[in-house]
Amino acid sequence: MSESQLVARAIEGDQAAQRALYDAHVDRVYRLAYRVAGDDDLARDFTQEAFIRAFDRLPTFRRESSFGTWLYTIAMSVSLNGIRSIKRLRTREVSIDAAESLGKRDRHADPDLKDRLKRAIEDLPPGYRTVFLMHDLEGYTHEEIGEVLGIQSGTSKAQLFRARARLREVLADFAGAWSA
Amino acid sequence: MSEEKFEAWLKENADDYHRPPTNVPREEMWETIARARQAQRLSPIAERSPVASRRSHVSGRWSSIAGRWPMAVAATLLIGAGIGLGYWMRGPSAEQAPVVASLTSAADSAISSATYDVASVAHLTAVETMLTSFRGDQQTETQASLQRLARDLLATTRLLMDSPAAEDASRRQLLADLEYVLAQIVVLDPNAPAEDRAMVDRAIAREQVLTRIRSSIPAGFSRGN
Repeated sequence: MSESQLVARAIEGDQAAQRALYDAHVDRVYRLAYRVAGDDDLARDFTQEAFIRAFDRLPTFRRESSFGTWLYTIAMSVSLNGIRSIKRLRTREVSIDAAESLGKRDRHADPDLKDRLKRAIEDLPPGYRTVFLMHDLEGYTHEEIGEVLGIQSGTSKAQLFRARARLREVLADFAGAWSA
Repeated sequence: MSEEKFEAWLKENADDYHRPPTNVPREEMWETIARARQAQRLSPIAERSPVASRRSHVSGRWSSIAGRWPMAVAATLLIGAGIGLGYWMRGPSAEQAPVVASLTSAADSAISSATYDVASVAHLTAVETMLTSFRGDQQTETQASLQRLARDLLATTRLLMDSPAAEDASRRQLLADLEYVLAQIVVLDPNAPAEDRAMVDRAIAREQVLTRIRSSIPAGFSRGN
């Protein structure tokens, strides 16, 4: 059965069709959510919420894009809004932690590449980070990213370029590792 | 060339960033989704506010909390009033009343039990919202409002502890732990040093209060939003 037929049946309330759509896309949705959240519980929450919303809104799906793209749009919206709320709540705690470690952390004294890279990615502006995660880590094309995030594919390319440039600048200490 | 090398190096090393586990918990997530959708179909409240209702199924930790705690105030006042009314109607000598075994009393008992269940869940939802707000927002004005709310919730917690709602052992233990945590919040000076707040936070974490509350709230119960 084609995806279009599955969608039609899912709209009518056919649970088997809904399950088939879920099976076809859940891995990708969960991976995206996990890349954004970095936490299994949150990734599950975001994934579940994305599917619940998608099934609710299925009658409004206009088939202007594939079901997958439409679903990933919902998933990214749920994940990004969710993680934004979490960060808002945690801002104070984080700032206290950061203040406590201030002065103890020397840029050159941290030999751990993974930690530095992780921090550098987290410090990217949200738009840059999202495009970087989707393109470089999850393999989405700029066209797909554009559709999912509602931006031009050119904008996606520009954001990726800037994200990489910023990471390169921040990780300049490790230049020997990639220029060797 | 250098740019290409950097991109290749970056992809290789950044792949560990928030790397998803290999096994996706498909079945567990599907069960939650199916339960949530079923509850939506069954619950008239969920039909009126599907998003708000659904959020209760998916932990809701990340959903907007700031706008919800005023609703918790209303909820706790309502629950407190309801429980108080129940006590008043039952009267002080209820425990000495003769036990009459009849279908009617059995039915009344079932209804009463269900009522206390609903009141407990509504109360736990209000407490969860308040505790999450307490942990997330440290502005003095908000804290003062939360403390007022904590006082009301503490009173309701104590009423529930003395009611049939506490007949269930795990719920009784949860209510006792909530009483302890809420009492700490009530007596906390809004201008107290961070260390004092941290003690309350640690108490919440140590007793796994939020996790236990969430697991006590059945799927399909709307927290409002």
